[in-house]
Formats: sequence, structure tokens, C-alpha cells
Amino acid sequence: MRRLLPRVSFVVVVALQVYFIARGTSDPHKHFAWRPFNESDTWSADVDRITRDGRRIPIEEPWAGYVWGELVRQRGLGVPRGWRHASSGAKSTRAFLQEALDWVATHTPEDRETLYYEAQFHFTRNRRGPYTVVLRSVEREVP
Amino acid sequence: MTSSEVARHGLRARFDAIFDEPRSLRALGLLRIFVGPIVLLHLVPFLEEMAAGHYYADGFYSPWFAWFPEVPKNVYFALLVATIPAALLLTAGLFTRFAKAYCWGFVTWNYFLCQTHFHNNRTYLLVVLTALLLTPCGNVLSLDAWRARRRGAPLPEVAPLWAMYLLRFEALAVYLGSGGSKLFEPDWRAGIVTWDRVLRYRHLLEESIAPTWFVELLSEQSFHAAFAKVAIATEIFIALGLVFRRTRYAGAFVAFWFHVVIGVALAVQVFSYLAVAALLIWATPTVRDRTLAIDERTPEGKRLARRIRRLDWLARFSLVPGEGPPRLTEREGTEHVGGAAVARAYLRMPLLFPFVAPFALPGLRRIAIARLDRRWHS
Repeated sequence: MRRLLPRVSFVVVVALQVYFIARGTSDPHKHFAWRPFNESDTWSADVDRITRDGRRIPIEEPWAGYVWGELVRQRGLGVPRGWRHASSGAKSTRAFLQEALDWVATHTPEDRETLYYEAQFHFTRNRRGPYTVVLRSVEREVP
Repeated sequence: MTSSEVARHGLRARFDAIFDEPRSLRALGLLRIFVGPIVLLHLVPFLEEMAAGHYYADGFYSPWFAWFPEVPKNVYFALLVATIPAALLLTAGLFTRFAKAYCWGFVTWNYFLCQTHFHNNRTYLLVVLTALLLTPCGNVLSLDAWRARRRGAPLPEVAPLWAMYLLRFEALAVYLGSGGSKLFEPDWRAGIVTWDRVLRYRHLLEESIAPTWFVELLSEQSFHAAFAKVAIATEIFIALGLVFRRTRYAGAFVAFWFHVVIGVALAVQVFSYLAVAALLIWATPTVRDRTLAIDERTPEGKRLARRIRRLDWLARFSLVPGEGPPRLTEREGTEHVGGAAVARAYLRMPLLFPFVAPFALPGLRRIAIARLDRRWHS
């Protein structure tokens, strides 16, 4: 076993690394794929709360004791409006923004009026664009 | 046996040697010393967050695995702060087994707490720490080794280095993954990616001490059309250069300056420090396999011997008393005398290597050796 374990570990790590490098083409975050600086993307997002009565309110306005910038502080998502460089690529930022919308929707129990969150995610890729995609959070159960 | 069977047998023997043959731990011991401060530097953003009273789970975070263990904020802070002495112990080589296990444990756990903690430089740190964890790197260049010698039970300075060879593979994956992905990306090959980045940060260049002509040159698309190809070729050259013994010095030299340049020009956090330190793993894992005979009765000889003792961090040389100009006997028995011996010795000093390596090129070598020779014959 002492003889076999290092050999197996070695082969498994090599195989996994090759797999992750190949997977890097489809993974938005390019985990373990060693693909730094692969693109020059920029992004900006207009994030709104859509309330039960159909109002669309920008998240820049605090609500029910919550402040977007305090809820979401990672990867520059705390201030989504305004163009800036997407250091890990726009696909990665977009994936994190989608997760952030879902997280906020499920971690704001004091909010009794927001039905869901919606983001107009604008991005450019290697001087092309801008393109826009719409991201929407999970729908909340509002009492 | 047929020639293909012989080749297969040779390959199998080489593969087995990676796991069975004890080799010198010296390079890994030296790498361990450098990794301690790099771990500390990598903690800075987390310590800054802590100073502001925040941690990753205060707001949105994206766990890698739902089952991954988490702890309350105060415990997280305590574990984070405890990594500081552990990193210092790692460098000093005191209680090294505990120190490397703790550093590896915290860095790995913290990395997998949240997907936003993912950065290539942190991944590489994790890989390097794993290699250190799997080898008895505290047996050399450490206080543990010093204490063991004092007790009269010196620690073994050799061990099978399969984890180091795995680290070599990972280092190649870094350069080939990065260079290869750029090679297959048309926008990268055309220079659009680097050109766009420079245009976006041109205002910083204009505010810097860079002359106007240089800023204008960097802002030209045609410059990037050529530069991108050079950048891709550099990364691939580093990988291939490091693989083969004959080109390893060239690969390591280009890698060193490549990392210095990207460390200055780009926000790569600890990547450049780590990648430069990790170049040590490409040194052949044997020690004292070259003999350097120096006449220490002369002031020049005394100075040279002192310099070698101070800078021979990888223990390449066995210093012996000699007469006349320095005489270097290589691993395979070839001899070099005078300036040639000194030039070759300097090339094997990690601290001097990045500056003297170009003098190994044929034209420059002749000039360098002639200058060094004059010292020994004056």
C-alpha cells in the first residue's frame, strides 16, 4: 500500500489536471485551468428589486434595513452600476452576479415587498459589444 | 528484448525512481523558507477584512461544497491569526511538520470556503504547500535539523521526491495552460486583449514616469499584434525549456524575468514571488556533486571561497583546498580553470543566476571568462 499510494496519487493528480485544463474552455470561472488574463472584458449592471405590486426599484436605494453594498461585497459586485474591468472575465462576473441575486433573495427575511431581483448585465468582450443579458433571482415567498 | 521493450523498460525504471530513489531535499528546504513569507502576504486581504470587522460569510458568498465545514466568525479570525506564527515557523523550520500542516490546512480550508476566494495565485500556493506537506522538507535548512544534529541524531537529508516531481508537472501545467489557452484564442493571438487592457489603463501610464514615445508605442495595435505572439511564445518556451536539462537554465532565466515583469505590470498578488521561488524545484536534487578547489591563501581566493559559502544555497559545490587559479570539476568529470570555473560556479548560485545567466551564451561567455581570468592572473 505504501508503494502503491504515491503512484496512484501521482497519476490521479496528473489526470485531474489535464481534465481541468480541458474543462477551462466551458467553465465560467476556469477553476484549476491556469487561464489567467485570457480576455479583456468590462461589465456594468443595473440591478433592481421587483416588488409584489410590480414596482421596479434600483438596489442603490436601501430597503427594509438592507444595503446592497453590505450584502454583496465580493468581486466588485457591491457597486454594480458603472463600467469596470472584469478581472476574471465577464462570464465569471455574470455567474457570481446570478448567485448573488439568489443569495440576496433568500437572505433578506425582513423584506416583505420584493418578489424577485433582476439585473441588466451589460458587458464587452475584447472590444466587442456592449451586449446585455437579463439575470433574474429566484422568486421569493412574500407573506 | 526489442528496442521498444527496452524503451518501455527504461521509462518504467525512471517512473519507479521518482517514487523509490532518495534524492536531496535541499531545494525543497529552500523553497519552504521562501513560502512562509508568501503565505503571510497571501493572508493580507483576509487580515484587512478582519481589521474592518468583516469575514467572507457576512454577506453573499458562494461555497464550493454544501457540506464543507464552517466555523463562527470569532473562530475563523482565531484560525486566520494563528496562520501568522505557523508561517513564521515554516520559514524557520521549527516544529516544521506542525507548521506545514497548519499552513496547508488553513490555506486549503480558506480557499474552499468560498468560490470568490479562487485566484490562480492562491491555487498555485495550495499546490506548492501540498508538495511541501508531502515531503520531509523540514529536515534541511531548518532549526529542527539543527536541534537534531545537536542531539546527535541528524535528520535524513534525502527522501523520495515524487511530490516534487508532481509539483514540476503542475508548474508545467501553469505555463502550458496559460500559453496554450492564449495560443488557441484568436483575439489573444491578434493582440486585441493586451491592446485593450493598455488602452483602458493608459491614463495610469500617462501619469507614470514612462516617456511619451513609450506610452504611444504601447497604445499601438500593431505593437500588440507582435507583442502577443512573443508573450505566448515566452510561456510555451518556459515550459519546454524547463523540461529538458540542456535548456533548463534558459527556461529558468526567461521564467525569472517573465515573472518579474508581470509582477510589476499586473496585479498578480503573490503569483510572481511564488513562481520565482518554485523555480528552485528544477535544480537537480543532488548536493556537493561538483568540486571547487580554491587557493584560500590569496585574498582573491579567500573572497571567492567566502562568496561561494554564502551563496551556494543549493549546496552544489564541495569546496576543497587548491593551488593557483580556482579549479571546478563537474559532475561528469570535466574540468574548468580560472575564469571559466568562477563563471560556472556563479551560474549555480540562485541569487546570482538571474544576472549572470546571459553570460553563459557563447559570445558573452568568452568576454566574461576573459575578464574573470584577468583577476586570477594579475
